[in-house]
Amino acid sequence: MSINDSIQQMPQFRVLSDRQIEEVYLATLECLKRTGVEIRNATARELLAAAGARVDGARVRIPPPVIQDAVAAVPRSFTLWGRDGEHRLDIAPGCVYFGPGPTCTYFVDPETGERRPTRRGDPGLTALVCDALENIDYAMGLGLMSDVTPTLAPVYEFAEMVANTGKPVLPWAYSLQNVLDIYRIALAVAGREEVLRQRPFFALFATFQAPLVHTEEDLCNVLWAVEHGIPVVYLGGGTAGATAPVTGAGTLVISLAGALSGLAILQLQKRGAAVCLGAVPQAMDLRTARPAYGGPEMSLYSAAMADICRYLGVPFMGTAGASEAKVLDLQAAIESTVQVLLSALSRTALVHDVGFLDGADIGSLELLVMSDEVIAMVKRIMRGIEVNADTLMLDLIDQVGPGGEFMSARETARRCRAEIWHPTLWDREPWENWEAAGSLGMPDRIRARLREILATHTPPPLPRGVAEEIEAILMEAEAREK
Amino acid sequence: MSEILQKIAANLYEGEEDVVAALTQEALEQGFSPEEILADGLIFGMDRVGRDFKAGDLFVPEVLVAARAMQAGMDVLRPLLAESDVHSAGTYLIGTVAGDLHDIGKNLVRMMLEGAGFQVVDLGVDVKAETFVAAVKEHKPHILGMSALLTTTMPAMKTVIEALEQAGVRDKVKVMVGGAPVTAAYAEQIGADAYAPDAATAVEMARKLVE
Repeated sequence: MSINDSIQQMPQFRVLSDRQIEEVYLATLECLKRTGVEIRNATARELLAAAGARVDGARVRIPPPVIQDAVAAVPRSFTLWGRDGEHRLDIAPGCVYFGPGPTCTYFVDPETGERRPTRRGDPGLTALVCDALENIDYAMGLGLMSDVTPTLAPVYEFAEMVANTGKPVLPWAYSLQNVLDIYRIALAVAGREEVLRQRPFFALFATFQAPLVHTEEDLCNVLWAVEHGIPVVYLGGGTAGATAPVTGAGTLVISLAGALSGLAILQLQKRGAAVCLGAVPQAMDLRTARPAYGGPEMSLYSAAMADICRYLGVPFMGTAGASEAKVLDLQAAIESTVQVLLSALSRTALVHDVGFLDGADIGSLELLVMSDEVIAMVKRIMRGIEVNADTLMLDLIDQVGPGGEFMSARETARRCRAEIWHPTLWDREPWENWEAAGSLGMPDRIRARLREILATHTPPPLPRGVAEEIEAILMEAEAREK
Repeated sequence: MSEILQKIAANLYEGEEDVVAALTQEALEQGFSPEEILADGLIFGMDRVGRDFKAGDLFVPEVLVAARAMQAGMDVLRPLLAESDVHSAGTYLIGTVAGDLHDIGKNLVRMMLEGAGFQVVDLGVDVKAETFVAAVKEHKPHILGMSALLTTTMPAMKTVIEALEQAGVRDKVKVMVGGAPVTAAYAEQIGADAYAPDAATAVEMARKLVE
C-alpha cells in the first residue's frame, strides 16, 4: 500500500519520540564502538578494518563514522519487480507490503488440515496462493522442505516459487553455492543479466544472529548478492530476556547494532547497494523460556524499529500475521491482526511471516488467506480520511436537510465503492440468510476460499523452455551434492 | 435492438437520469412508440440492474440512482401511455408500527421497492392499527409491509393483523413483516404471509407475493 500524505493524511502513529530515537541510535553507535560485533567472515573484517574499525580476532569494534557513512550511502528506496512485469514494490517511505515468511518445519496440509512435515510442493502452493491474494505482495516459502537433499532445500524452494507466482520472491540460502544456483534460475527466468539488474524480481533474505554476531555463511551470501546487484533483506534481532536485555530499549540496541553493522559491511562492499534492514525483536515468555512471537512486545518493538529506520532513512522489514497458536483459532486471529495493524501504522516497508503458526514452526495457508482480508481492512484504515470541499459535501447536506436520507443521492452511488470497504470473507448477512447458507463460520469460509484458489488460480506461465532449464539446474546441483 | 434503446438501457444502468430523459424524448422523435421505449429501453435496463444487484455486483445506492433514471424516463412517457400500459409491479403500503420511530430500514425497503417498479404508499412511522386498516381500504394495495426495530413494539404487528381481520380485509392484502428482532418463526406465528431479513430479500418476496 502506498499513501501520499499531501493528498490524504495517513493515520498518525509513533512508538518513539524524536529524542528517544536519537538516544537509541546514539546508544547503538556506542555499543558498536565499545562492545563491537563478532564477524566470522574475513572479507567483511578486512572491509571494516580498512574503514577504520578495530579488529581483534573475530571481534570488530566499529567507530560511529563508519556506521553514519553507511546510513548516508544506502538508498532510501529501491524497487522490486514481479517477473510478470506487472507487480512492482516500491520499498520506499510510506509504502507497506506484506508477504509470508520462510523455513517452517511443518505445514498445514491444505487437503487434510493436519500438521505434517513440510515437503516438496508446499512452497509452490504458498507462492500460488500469494499470487492469487490481492493483498499479499511478495512470496516466501512458508516451509523448509524435509524430503529433498537437505543442502539444496532453498534452491528447490526458489524454483517452485518462481514457477507459481508473477510477484516478487524472497529466497534465502544456506550457502554461496545455493545463491549461485538461485541466481542461475533467476537468470533463466529473466533471460539476460541486464534485465535482472534493471528489474530485480527477487531479493536475497539473510539473517544475522543475536546478540551481535554475523555468520560466515550469511555474510558470504549477502556480499556476493550486493556485488551482483541483488537487493538484500538483512534481518535479525534479539529476543528480549534471552539474546537481548529484558528491556525494550536494550532489545532495540541489540537489533539495531546487528542491523547497522551489517549495513556498514554491505555499503563498504558496494556503496549504494539496495538493502532493507529487518528485525524480529520478540520477547521471551520467561515463565517457560518459550518465545512469544505473537506477543505485544514483538509488534511494539518492531514498530519502534520502523520509527528508527524511518529516521535513518533505511527501508525496514518487520513481522505480522504470525501467531503462537497451534491451529487457526481465535488466538491466531487476534495476534496476527494486531501485528498487521501495527505494522501498517508504523509504515513498515516489508512485513514478513504472514501465515506462521506455533511461532515459526507451522506454515498455514489458511492464516495467509485470513490475513489477506485483515490486511485489506487495515489498508482501508491507512487510507485515512480525505478532507476537502468535495468530501465535506455541504451542498448535499443542505439539499437533503434534516430527517432526509443520503442513500439515494447520486454522490453516494458515485463514491460508495471507493469510500466504504467491502469484505469478502467477513459475514454481514442477516441471521436468516447466514443460516440458510449453512451457518458457516469464519474458518469454513477461509477454507472454502483456499480450496477455490488452489483449484482455480493459474499463475502467469514461465517463458517457454524455462521450466526445463530450471530442472537442469536442479539436476546439476543434485549431481554436485553426491 | 435499436441503438437508441440500447443507449437508454445503458444510461439507466449508470443512473444518468438527465440523459435517460433526453434520450427517451429523442427516441419518441425518431418514431419509436412509447410502449417500445418502455419495454426495450427502460424495463430492459432495469431488469439488468435487478439481476446484477442480486448477484452482488451492484450496490444499493447504484440501484437507487438507476431507479431514479427509470422514473425520469417514465415522466416523459407517462402522458403518452394508456393507463394500463404504465408499468407497475404492484402497490405496496408500508410503515413502522405503533410506538416505533425507527425508519431507516423501512425507508430502504421503500426505496428498493420503488426501484423495482412498485407503487409505494408510505405511511411513515408510529402508524396505528386503525390507520393501516383505513389505508388498506383506501389504496387497495397488493401488499402491506410493517417493520419494527424493538421487541417491545413487535407485538403491534399482531395487533394490525387482527385489526385487518376484524375489518374483513385481511384476505384482500398480503402482509409482510421485517425488522431486527423479527424472525420467520414470529411472522408465521402472528399469521403474516412473508418475512424478509433484509431489503433485497423484501423486494424478492414482494415480487413473489404479487405473482
